[in-house]
Amino acid sequence: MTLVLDGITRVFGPVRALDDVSLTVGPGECRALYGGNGSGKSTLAKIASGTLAPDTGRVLVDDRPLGRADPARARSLGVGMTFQELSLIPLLTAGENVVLTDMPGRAGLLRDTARADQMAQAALAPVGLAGRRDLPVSILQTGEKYLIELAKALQSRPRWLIIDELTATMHASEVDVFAGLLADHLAQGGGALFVSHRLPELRRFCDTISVLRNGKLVFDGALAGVGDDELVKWAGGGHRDAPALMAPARDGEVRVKAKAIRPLPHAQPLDLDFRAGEITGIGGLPDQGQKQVLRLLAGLRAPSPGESVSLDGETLPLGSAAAMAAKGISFVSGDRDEMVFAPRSIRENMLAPFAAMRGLKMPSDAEITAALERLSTRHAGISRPIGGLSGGNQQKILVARCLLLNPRLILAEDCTKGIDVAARNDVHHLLRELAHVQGTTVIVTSSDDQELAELCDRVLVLDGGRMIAELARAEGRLDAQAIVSAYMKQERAA
Amino acid sequence: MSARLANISLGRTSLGRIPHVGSLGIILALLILGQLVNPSFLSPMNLWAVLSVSALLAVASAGQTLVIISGNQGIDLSVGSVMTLTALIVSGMAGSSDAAVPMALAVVLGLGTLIGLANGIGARFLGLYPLVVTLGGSFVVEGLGLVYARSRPPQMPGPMIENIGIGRFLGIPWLVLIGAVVTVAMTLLLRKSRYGRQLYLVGSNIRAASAAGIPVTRVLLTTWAASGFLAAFAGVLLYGYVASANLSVGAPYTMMSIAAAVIGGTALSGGAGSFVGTVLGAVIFSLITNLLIMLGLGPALRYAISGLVLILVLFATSRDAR
Repeated sequence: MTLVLDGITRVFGPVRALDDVSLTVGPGECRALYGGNGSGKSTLAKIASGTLAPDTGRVLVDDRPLGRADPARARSLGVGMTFQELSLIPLLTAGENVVLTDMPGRAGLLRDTARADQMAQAALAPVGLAGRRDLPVSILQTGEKYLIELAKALQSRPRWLIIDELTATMHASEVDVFAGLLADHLAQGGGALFVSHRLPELRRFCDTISVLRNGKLVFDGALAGVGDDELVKWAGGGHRDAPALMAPARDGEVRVKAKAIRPLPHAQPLDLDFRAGEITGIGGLPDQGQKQVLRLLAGLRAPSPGESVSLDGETLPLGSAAAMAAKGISFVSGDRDEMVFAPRSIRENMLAPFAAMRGLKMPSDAEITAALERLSTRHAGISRPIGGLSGGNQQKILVARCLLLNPRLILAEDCTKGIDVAARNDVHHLLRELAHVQGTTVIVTSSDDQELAELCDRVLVLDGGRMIAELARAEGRLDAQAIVSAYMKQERAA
Repeated sequence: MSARLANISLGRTSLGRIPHVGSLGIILALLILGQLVNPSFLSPMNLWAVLSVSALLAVASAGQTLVIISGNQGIDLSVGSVMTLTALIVSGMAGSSDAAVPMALAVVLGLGTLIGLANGIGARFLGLYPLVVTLGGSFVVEGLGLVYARSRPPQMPGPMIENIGIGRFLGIPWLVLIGAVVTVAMTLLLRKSRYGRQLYLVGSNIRAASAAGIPVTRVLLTTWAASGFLAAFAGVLLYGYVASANLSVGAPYTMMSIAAAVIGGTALSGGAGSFVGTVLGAVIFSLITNLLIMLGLGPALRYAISGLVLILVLFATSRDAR
C-alpha cells in the first residue's frame, strides 16, 4: 500500500518542469514536497492527482497505474487533492461545491437535494463550516475557502491526500483545524504529500521530505536531519539566511494620522498614528478589519461618515485610489488577480502607477532592471508578458514596483503570499531598507503571525474592528507568541 | 498571431519577430490569388479602389478597436447605426450645397460623441453589458434616423463631400489619405499617449488598474466617446463614398468593424491589439470582397462566402492558444 511516483518527467515548451523525479509515500506518512518558486512542486502534485499526465514515468496508486490524465480515475483509486488555486465554483454554495463530484441523484436526472444537504453537512462539519453550507463560496473568507477545498478533497475518503499550499493564507486557528484532520487521516493509515513554503509547518506536520530544485530531486530523506539553513538554500540558492534586522526604527515624526476610522461597519471609531521610518503590522484573527484599514488608506474603500486621514498634515481625498496614489501612497497585495496585468509586459506592469499620474518622470529600462535585480527576480527580458512568469516572480515584480515610486507610504496586504522563503526574505529586506534608510512609512497585514513578528517594528492586533493590543519591538514585547496570545485571550473572553 | 505561423523560421531570422506576419502573409496570398483569377486585379485602378474601401472600413473600425482593447466585455454594436444616422443628417442639413457642410459636420460629430458617451455611461454606471447597451442604443439611433429621414428625404452630396468620397489629391484617393492620417494618429494615441498606456492596462485588468491609481472611469468614458466620434466621422466618409444616404447604408459596418479589429489581432478579452493590425484586417476583408466580385458572384453568395472565409482567416490568425 503505497503511492509511488516513478521517474516523472514533464516538459512545458522550452522548460523542463520536472526531470526524472521519483518519490514514495507510505501509510501514516506525511511527506513534505518542498522547493523554491517554479521548482516544479505544483506540477508534481498535479501529476500525482491525475490532473496532469507526465511525459515519461508513471504513477502507481497501491500498485495500480494511473495512466493518462484522469482525475476521476485517480479519485476512484483513492487520491484526493487540494489545489493552491482552489477548485471551487464561486457561485455555488459551499455545500454544493463539496458534494459536486458525487452529487446524489434520483433516476440519474434529478438532484436528491435532501441527501446532498446531509452529505454536505457531514463533509463540512469536520472543518467547522457546516453552518456555512448554504452560502455561496464567493462571499466566504479566504481561509474558509481553503478549508472547504480540504473538505471537498476529503469527501471521497481518499487514502492518499495531496495538499498544495493549502495553509499559505490560512490563519493559525484554521491551520489547527487542518492539523487535527491530518492527524486523523494519518492515524487511519492514510498518507499525505504536503506542499508548503512555511518551514515551521513542514516541521510540524512532516517526517520525511523531498526537495525539488529546478525540476530535479535534490534531496530525499528524514526531515529531522535537515537544518533550516539548508532548506532555505535549496529554495533560493545562495541567499542570505534569516534577514538581518537593520538599524532600529528611528523615532520619526508622525506621518499618517487616521481619525475616527471604522475597520468594520459597527466598530467603535479608532484613531491610529503611523510614523515615518516605521513598519507597522496589523494582525489578529482573519477579517477583523485589517484589510479595511489598509484599503481605506489606499483609496480602495469608500470612507464611512466621520473617517478622515492626513498624510504629513495634509488631509487625504479618501475613496479615490488615483488621488491617493498621486499623494505618494503605494499599495501592493498578494492577491495577484487584483494586481497583475497578465497579458502586458513586465515593463508596463512596473510603469502602471507612472501611467496613472501626470508630472512623473518615467523610469528608464535601466532603472526598472536595477529594481528587479534588487529582488533577484528571474525573467527573460522586461518586454515579455508578466503572465508567463511563476506566481512568486510576479509577486516580486509588484514589490519592486514600489521601489521605483519612492512613495511616502507603502501599504502591503499579505504581499509575500505564496512566495518562497528566499524571496520572502528579499521582500522583507527591501521593506526594511525603505523604512529604516529612506524613512518610508510601511504598513503591512499578514495572515502569518511569524512574519509580522519578524518584519515589523510594531504590531497592532485588531479584534472585531477594535484594537486590543499594541506590541512594540522597542519595548521587547514583539514576538509571534505575544500576537497569538493577544487575540486568543480575547477569543476566550468572548 | 498564430503560433504555427509565428514558429516558421527562415534561416536564422524568425518570421515570428516581424509584426503582423500572419496578416501580411494572407494579404500576399490574396493578391497572388486575385491576379491568377483576373489579370486586372493588380491594376492601379483596382488597387486604389480596394485601398479606398479598406481606408473607409479602417476608420469605421478605429473606435471599435479602442472599445475592444478597453476590455471588460467592451464591444460597440452601434457603429453601423451611428454611421447611418450621420449620413442621413449630413445629407439632410447640407444637401447638395457646400455652404452648410461645416455646420453639419459639427452637429454629427458632436452627436456621435454624445451617443458614445451614453453607451459608456450605460456600460460603466448601470452595470449593463456593453453588448446589450449598444444593441439597445443602436435601435434608438436607427429610430432617430428613420424619424429624421421622414422629415428630410436624403439627397445626393454636394461637391465637397463627394470629392472626399471618390475624389483624389495628387493622384491618391482622399479616402486613402484620410485613412493614413487616422492610422498615424491612432498609433500615436495608443503607443505614445498617457491615455493609450492607461487603456491597455484598464483593458487587461480593471481591478489592477484601479489599485495602481489609474482613473478607470475617465479612461473608459473617453474610449466610448471616441468610439461614437469616430463612427460619426466614418459615416461622413461613407456618405461621400456611396453618394447617397438610406436607412441601411451603415448597417454592415457594425460586424465588419469587429471583424477587422479581430482579424488584426485585437483580443476580444481586452488589453491587447494595435491599430495597424486593424488596418491590415480591413485590407484583408476588402480584398476578399473584391476577389469575390471579380469571380462574378452575386451579393448574396458573396456575403455567405466572405463569412466562411472570415472564420478561416480568424482560425489562422487569432485562435486562442490552448
